Amino acid sequence: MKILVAIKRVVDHNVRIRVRPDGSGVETTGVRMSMNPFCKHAVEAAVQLSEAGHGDEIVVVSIGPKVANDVILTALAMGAHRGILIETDAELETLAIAKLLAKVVAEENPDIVLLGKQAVDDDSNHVGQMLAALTNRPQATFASEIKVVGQGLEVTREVDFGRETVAIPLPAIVTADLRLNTPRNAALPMVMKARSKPLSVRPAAEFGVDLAPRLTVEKISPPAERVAGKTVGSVAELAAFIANDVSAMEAL
Amino acid sequence: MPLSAAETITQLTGIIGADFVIGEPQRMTSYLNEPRKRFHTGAAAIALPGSVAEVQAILRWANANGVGIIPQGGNTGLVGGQVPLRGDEVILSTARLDRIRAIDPAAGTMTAESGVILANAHTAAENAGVILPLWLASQGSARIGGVLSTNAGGVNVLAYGNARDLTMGVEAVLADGRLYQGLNSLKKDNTGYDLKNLLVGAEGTLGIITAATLKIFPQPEDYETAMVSIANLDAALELFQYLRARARRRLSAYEIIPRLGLDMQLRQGMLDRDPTPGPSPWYALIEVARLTKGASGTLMAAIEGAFSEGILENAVFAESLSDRTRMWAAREQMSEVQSKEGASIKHDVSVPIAEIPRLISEGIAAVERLVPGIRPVPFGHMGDGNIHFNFSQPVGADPKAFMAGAEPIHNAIYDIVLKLGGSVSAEHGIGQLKVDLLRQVKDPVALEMMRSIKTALDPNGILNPGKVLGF
Amino acid sequence: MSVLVLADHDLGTLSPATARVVNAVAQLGPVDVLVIGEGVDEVAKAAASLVGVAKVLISQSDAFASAPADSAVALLETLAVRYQFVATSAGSVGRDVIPRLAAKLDLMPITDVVKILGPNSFERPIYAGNAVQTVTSNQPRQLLTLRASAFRAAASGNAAPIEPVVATGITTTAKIIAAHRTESDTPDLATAQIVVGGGVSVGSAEGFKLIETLAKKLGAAVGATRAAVDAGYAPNDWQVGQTGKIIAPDLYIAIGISGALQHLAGIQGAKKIVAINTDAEAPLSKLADVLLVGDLFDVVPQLIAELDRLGVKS
Repeated sequence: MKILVAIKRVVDHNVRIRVRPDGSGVETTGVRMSMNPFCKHAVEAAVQLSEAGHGDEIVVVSIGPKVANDVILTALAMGAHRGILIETDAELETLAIAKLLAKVVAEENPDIVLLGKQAVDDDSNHVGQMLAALTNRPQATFASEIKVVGQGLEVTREVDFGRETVAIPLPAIVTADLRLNTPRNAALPMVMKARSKPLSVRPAAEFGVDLAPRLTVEKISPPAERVAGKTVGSVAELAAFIANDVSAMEAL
Repeated sequence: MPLSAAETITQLTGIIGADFVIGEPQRMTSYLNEPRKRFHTGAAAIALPGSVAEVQAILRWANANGVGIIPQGGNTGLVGGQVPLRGDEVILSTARLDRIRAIDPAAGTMTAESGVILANAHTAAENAGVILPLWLASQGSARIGGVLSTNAGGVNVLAYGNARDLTMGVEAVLADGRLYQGLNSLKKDNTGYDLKNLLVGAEGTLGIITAATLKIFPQPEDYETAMVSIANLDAALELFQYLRARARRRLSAYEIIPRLGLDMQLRQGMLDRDPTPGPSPWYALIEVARLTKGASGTLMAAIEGAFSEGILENAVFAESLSDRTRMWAAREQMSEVQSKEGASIKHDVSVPIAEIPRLISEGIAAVERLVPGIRPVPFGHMGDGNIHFNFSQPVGADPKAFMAGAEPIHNAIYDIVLKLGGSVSAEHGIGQLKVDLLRQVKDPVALEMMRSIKTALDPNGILNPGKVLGF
Repeated sequence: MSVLVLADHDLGTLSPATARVVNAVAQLGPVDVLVIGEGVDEVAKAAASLVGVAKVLISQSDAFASAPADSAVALLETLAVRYQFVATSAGSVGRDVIPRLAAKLDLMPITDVVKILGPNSFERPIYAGNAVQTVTSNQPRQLLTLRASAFRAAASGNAAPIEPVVATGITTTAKIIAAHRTESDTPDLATAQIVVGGGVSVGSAEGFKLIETLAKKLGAAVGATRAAVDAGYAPNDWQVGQTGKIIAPDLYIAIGISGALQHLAGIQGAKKIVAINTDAEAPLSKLADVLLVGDLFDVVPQLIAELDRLGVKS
């Protein structure tokens, strides 16, 4: 079985981001970048499937600037076999990303494509579903468990009412949620070995996909600031505040 | 005629107002319960002055009436310096002196009042695009005045020095209420005795620091962080020297951690996962700062070099800030986890760096002879030669019986420390815990000089009575 | 200009989120609501009662059981061409369906909308709510998911016509083989007016019973942090945050929650926040409108008793 994992390099999840005062975006220079955490769960899932005998080859693909090589190296150190960087300095929309990945799927013909369910920068949560549509494959989003059963997968999904398990045939698209696994931190020998694994860099233009944006981002603004509150000294005061608030709601 | 507690409260109220004097025992507990849970004396009152002038007024009154004053910051001290010895003293909390008076990134200085919580000073520095590199496990509660008075160290001493190195000037109220205005930011000042360095590290026995001018530094653009498996402490020392030669001043942390301490944290649910590359008797937590526009990969290259030379066994690198946070948590929770594992006996000692392997191996051997089954968890700032040489009780042992046997363990450790040319208090201070020890081990001439200074500056003995030098 | 809203429903009941979506998009044009599933007549009736609904389309097929994305998208693909807008809530179904539908129609969807500025202009949070993006679209139609919690609900009292839509030839390759539901009689978290949330310091699943008791007292939904869910103290569908549910109640009572960025992302829409925490310096303590510093196991039972005394009833 062949597994393709798509990963994204993002502003580290724990960086307290700053919105540029001119509204042009979020400050990303001099800011720690990391692999999107959901993508890391996807890579770990691929490596675990491979370790369980379900993946002969894991190919990792990322779309972004040259420096996105570093997250591919991280994935290779975790146990992926081969990397592809689709190089572009443009900030692509999710639809364009999905179209590029669909081309990679056509070339590589993987049995399973794993992605993170969303990237923590734009919080879109689109690409897996779009890729499933473009490649006419079934999708199992927000996975918290993946089992290979016969010729298909049984995927447990995190949904509004709890969890549900779906059976899907292969080839399929699966997006990873946080409880899918605990991603490993690659140890030194694997980190060193990763550098000798194949990593091809291909310009995005080579894929013949229309990458033009469909939406216009007018501005990026900071969220409304909350004003500092007060500290109460007793449970009675707290209860009075809550009771007051509740009766104000009922009056509406 | 000493004042009664009631008179003390009344008179203090007259000075700073009733809202800022605490006299009821149940409201005093958070000021009296100290982290080691060893010292249980009461106090006459807690005073919370809101200005330097009020601190002066309190000291004038105390000096005239012979009232002992215990300066207290965040109450995080580990040697009992911030809590009373007799029970008739007044605790002077600096909590309300919490203003950052100035921050000047261009000049590289910040002037903060003594009650500023260290973490708040960090935030203020970060907001100004700089760092205040005094990082301690207790920084969320510890206040600047206490940090300076104990000449605290922490995890950044390697690159930036300890509190003393980071202090440019102090403002302090003397025992008679006079104000010493030493808030300068001069790099060079050869005009007589170095009074700043006398007050820093004096544990509040010579004056009460009310503000300090501290050094701030450009914010490193990023850090490279790794957790490295090391077979033994000789290898740990060799690796330190190897990295120091390559990363030089950018090597900002080199902390050693024993496996036992990580197992305790994992068992107690204090770590969501093991932050190491796998089982190993020892680990080093290593961090290298990357300055703006500097090259990345310094640490990775150095660690790969050391690996190929067989100095280290394995390593993992922090691939995200949450990895880095977890690695640091593993180091900073070392002390806290011990309190969840029963009774513990602790030593904060330093020796010349080259002697650390010997200190630890001889120390463990000596103590294991005394108490079979004892769990040694030495950890800390190897790069500074400073080890927190702690021991947890054997599993299942009676905590009280274990603590009753502390004295021979202390003696065994301190004997080895002194033999190796070390210090019995590296960064926590003397407080009340180590007064007798200081008398035993300190050079008699040094002790006499200290007593002369104390008598000259605090003739009535009202400042933190009984601490450091005893009564 | 016309709008098609895909209804959210579960166990034969219309989700309160749909009333909010309907109300939010009514400004864009006449609203049709599509109800798909099996045995969903009551859901259609409930949708028809919402003010602002022009008609309800109902399509019943076993291929829709719990609405696997591919079958829902197959139907929506044929219906969407008649509308300028297709909208649904940003719940687990909407997130699954809308991007897939968008790619089929070669459109960029606009998801997690929290404000509708005009027919082509929307606000959506990014970076876990630490920034807000204003986007405009010149596409022929807009595919939207809305954060229901950011909008008020449509009133009921309408009686819109209900028309069946034939769903022939709709198949699905995916099959739902098990559902694991959280048993709880507290209100829907994503749309609740009051939410009581617990963090990892609640310490156990039993500890969360205390949180639930307070919630019931107030008629509130129960939320939890990711750490509390990961520790097994609370079920996954209680998780509030960037990766869980986004809530915007009138009152959020956060108990023993320090306030990781991840969690704060889920509660930014809360009108008032009350925090009970031992740590006055915790990020959420500093953010709260009202803070009580104290141990939750002391405070919460006292609070329940005190609310009783004040005659607060859910």
